[in-house]
Amino acid sequence: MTKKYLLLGSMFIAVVAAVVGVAVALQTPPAPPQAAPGFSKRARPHFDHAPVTPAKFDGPQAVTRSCLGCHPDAAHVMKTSHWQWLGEEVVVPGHEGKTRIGKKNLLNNFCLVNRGNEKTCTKCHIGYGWADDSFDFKNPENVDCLVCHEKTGTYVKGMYGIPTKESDLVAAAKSVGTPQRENCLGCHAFGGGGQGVKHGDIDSSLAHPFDEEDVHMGRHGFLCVDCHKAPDHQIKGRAFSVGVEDSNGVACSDCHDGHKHTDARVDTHVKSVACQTCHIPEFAGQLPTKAWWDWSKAGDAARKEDPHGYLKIKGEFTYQQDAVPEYRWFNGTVGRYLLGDKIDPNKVTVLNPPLGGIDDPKAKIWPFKIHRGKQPYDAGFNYLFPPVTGGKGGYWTTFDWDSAFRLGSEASKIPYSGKYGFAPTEMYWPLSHMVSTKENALACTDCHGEKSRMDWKALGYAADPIKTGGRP
Amino acid sequence: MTRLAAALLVLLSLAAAGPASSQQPVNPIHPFFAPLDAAGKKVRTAEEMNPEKTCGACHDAAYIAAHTDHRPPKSAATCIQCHVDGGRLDIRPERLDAEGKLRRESIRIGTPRAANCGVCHGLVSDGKSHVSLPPTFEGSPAPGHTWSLTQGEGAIVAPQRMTDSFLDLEGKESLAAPWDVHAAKLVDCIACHYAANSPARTDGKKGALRYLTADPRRQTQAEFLVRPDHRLAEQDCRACHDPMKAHAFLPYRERHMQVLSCAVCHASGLMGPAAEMVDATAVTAAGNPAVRYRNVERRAGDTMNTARIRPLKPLLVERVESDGVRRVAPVNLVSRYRWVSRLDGTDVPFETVARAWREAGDHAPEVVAMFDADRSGRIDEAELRLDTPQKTEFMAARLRALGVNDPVVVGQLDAHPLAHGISTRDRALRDCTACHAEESRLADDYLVAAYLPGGSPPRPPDGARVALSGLLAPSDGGGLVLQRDRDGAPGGLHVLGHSRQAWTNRLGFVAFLAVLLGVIVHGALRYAFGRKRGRVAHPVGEKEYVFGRYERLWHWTMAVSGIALIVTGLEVHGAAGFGFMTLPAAVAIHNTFAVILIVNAFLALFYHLATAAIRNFIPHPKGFMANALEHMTYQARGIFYGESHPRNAAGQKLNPLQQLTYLALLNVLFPLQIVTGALIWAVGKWPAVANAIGGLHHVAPVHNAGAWLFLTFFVLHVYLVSTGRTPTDHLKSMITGYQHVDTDEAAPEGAEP
Repeated sequence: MTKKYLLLGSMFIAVVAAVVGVAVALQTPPAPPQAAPGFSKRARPHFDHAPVTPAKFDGPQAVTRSCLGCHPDAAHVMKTSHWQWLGEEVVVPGHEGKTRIGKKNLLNNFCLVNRGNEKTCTKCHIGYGWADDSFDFKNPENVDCLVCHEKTGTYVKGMYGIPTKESDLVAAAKSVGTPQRENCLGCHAFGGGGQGVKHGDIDSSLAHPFDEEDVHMGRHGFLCVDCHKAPDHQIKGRAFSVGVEDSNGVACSDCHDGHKHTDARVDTHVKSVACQTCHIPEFAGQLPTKAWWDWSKAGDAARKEDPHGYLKIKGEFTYQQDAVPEYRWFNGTVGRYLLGDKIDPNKVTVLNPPLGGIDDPKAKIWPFKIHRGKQPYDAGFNYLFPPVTGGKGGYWTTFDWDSAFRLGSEASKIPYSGKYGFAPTEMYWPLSHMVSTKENALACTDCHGEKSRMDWKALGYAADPIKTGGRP
Repeated sequence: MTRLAAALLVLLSLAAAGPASSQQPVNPIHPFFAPLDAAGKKVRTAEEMNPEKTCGACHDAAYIAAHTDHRPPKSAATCIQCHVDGGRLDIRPERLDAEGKLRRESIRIGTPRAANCGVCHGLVSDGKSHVSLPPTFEGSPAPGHTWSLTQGEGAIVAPQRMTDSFLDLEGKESLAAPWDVHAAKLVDCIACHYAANSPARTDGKKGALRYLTADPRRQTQAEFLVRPDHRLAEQDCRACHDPMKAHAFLPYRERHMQVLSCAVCHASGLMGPAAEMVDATAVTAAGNPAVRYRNVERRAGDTMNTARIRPLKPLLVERVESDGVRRVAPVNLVSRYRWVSRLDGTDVPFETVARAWREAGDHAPEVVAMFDADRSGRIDEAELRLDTPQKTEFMAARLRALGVNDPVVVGQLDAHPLAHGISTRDRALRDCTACHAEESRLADDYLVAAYLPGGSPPRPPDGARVALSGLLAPSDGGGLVLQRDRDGAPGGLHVLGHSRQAWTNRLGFVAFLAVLLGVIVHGALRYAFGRKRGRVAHPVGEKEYVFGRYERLWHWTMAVSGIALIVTGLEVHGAAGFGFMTLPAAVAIHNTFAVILIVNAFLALFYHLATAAIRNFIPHPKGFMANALEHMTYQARGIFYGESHPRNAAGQKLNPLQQLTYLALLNVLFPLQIVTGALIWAVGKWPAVANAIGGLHHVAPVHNAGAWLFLTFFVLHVYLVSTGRTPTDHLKSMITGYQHVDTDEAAPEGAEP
């Protein structure tokens, strides 16, 4: 009897509960947005190195010796391109066979070349004392651990990468930990010889950006190493200035995998338009970046110097700020100009042309900073030339191009015909940093319609694809 | 076209060219042509050029003039204004070639851009600069330059986000949606307002033959370019959008889409300044007509760009839409007042009115003396009106002195349907209680005008497509307010949760209250008498199995469903407003339990018929009245004295009162409630049913009345259950199925009704 009571009573309560549950469920507000699916909050270890740091170091290599005492595996960084300034063997499009390319042996249209100019260039090498080919790349003690790991902000690398006398090695060693943004920016923001010169989307404003300047590093407090993960010091990501592919690269989809936009129409763009195109509406917002560098104007003592306009040692340049990117098809690989490749000095030589076109299914429209300029070339052999500029006895000392060419010919082991000139070149820098907030992403009218930032014909479309349709 | 009008147009387009500029690109295939004057001679300046003669050399100007809505006096638009970049043809000697023809770079002619339409129709911006109201926004009225989109509808056509504009909007930080989502998606004016015979847009003749869905025969492009029919189409949203493909959250989607215009929800809360009255009978110190806005709060010293703008609350009326269907649609009523010369009915030119009000760049001193009531030295916004006969006569006298024949104030009431400035779907109205509540947008009073210049009410123009239903009554302050039926809706629609039949509710509530009071009194008396008597335990006899498992299941299912239906029904009706359910939730649960109840009822009917248990419900005529009387006497008297319950007739489980009640309940009330409820649901799902039964305003009150009766029955039933041996005795027996039997009685007792 009681059991029946209980059974029926509980059935009744169940029904009532169901009714109430349905009513409540129909009113529950939707769940708040989750973090991107691939994102996992990383725990950053906090180990105070002060107790284990010696009281005195007799040189920078002594610091590294001390680090290696507990972190022997850290020496694996020597396998990476951060140390060697060379990548793995690759086939460079347009060339035969496999070669290893990197900052060590490539030309750019900024400070031109590393070889011969190690005095100034290796200030940003993660090693101590790379002056010439005699540098011992196999000695682990030559690795500079502090530049990436120290957190006092007072550690400064001088010529040949050797820390200045003012740098307090002990204080730096005590402060080591996870690399902060300032560590990476200390070199990467000053590429090309000054603040924000090279990349356009990397400069010191990324240390403490506003949300709109960079949503990851601003609003969400990301460190560089959160995306550029470094398992066993193999840091993910390789710039397309020194590499031709990104098999070890970073992609938005590493965290934002399979993301669906609120407006379904935007999802139809994803197969032809890179995330960066819409989400990086402009670059060099806070600090300007170099857009044009004309080496041929260098050496004029009478001209007034101005770091944003003209320097006797470097030539004439222009800067751009709040810049609108230029858009090209890009399938993730670039061609690369290698030393010795012939050029036509009357045409613009693109040092790293992005490959892919409208018919390439792997290609998408990417935003680029294009750096244009005029750089030295050998007028007899018709190839771009690596002169010695900042190195010993180079152009910055003598202001004599011919002498700079001769020295460069020795340093890079490339013949010099005796005649020099200046040829127009371009370098393409695909943008991935300075991702703005989603409210600031490009809207329909930014690309479609009358005042468009896209040159449809140049991209291979017949006309605005909103009218004629996109590629199949 | 007169010189003055042309000059005015040039001036206006120049002034408006600022915020509305857009680059009409060079037209690569337009033939070279030389600008001609009215006589057909080549000219070299824009002022001498005559569009009819110039453009008419190839495009049939006479045909266009005869087939256009943009004609004087309503509009003085010319070819140039709509089809040329910037609204003016820049003819300078350097733009002409040796033969006097315009060079290719200067031929920026093509289909009208939004900026061209915006010169007259309202604030249109390409979004490249921050949206702001130009200084000419409150300028003097010119032919066709009515700002009808902005001042009339409160719409600003711009792709920019509202939060990026320079206007002072209420809640601006959260307004991340664009002013106009169509502008943001590059759907421009001509996408909906295209030329009537455009071969690209029209589907030719349709529907003439039943086996033909489309007729491909139509004019060629060339024929269209020579004779374009400028009677522009007026598309409804449904020409491109299928509302049934979205709105899954909306209960009774079909019904909503049938009776409501899309704009009711999608154009709610427009943030542009919408006019309430354009009073050209009064002139401000700056020389503009006095304009009052519905949703703009102007503090002292505010310009239009600093005044606070709030979301516009439109008037919901019945309107015939462009697809011919009559629907409830939002409109903004604008009263337009002007001085008219009664002699010939012509308008008094605004410059003349301005001269009557102003002198040397400010109001004339005599005018200030007349209108400045608070002696502040200036005429404030509240003082700048002809709200007394003395003031009207004063101004009329001044106009007569300027040579106007018999000036009189005339007002026109324009209803501007809201169709532009539609924002993204997250700005659409999602709050059911905006209409489905006692205070409903469909029944609110609406202030037509805060005051009536010259004391004359505004009249709708001829051929108005809007039906204003309600009572136009004077408001405080000498204005006009539209009072509407508080319990009704436009078009006689029955709106669940809002529409109510007053007497049904009153009587139903009275009945419920009466029964509730009755049972409280009855119960109190029983308790009081019982205490006096002292506790006398009835002898506990045997138990008899009277309620089978199915019967109990059926009863409790009915009970739960009934309670759920009453509770959710009250929630839908809105009167109780328990507030723990949203309207869609209440409707969904109500429908679910309605289905459960109907299924349960039919199964029970089948069961009772199949097992002949129905015999219990059929009253036995022999001795029926006597038995009934006996029961009634017991309830009225015997129960208080602890008498035992009268016995049922032999073989009968239910007493006569129960049988009577159930007869009415099961054969009248239940079917009525089920049928009316099903009709209400059917109207939501198949709106054509509404037309067949003439709307819900008779069906719904019946359903409501039935609900009150059910509620009353429920109260009585629950109470009478407590009249057993102990108050919970009968309840237990409906759960367990067993009933106590008195030892000295032969026949079992039935349960209480």
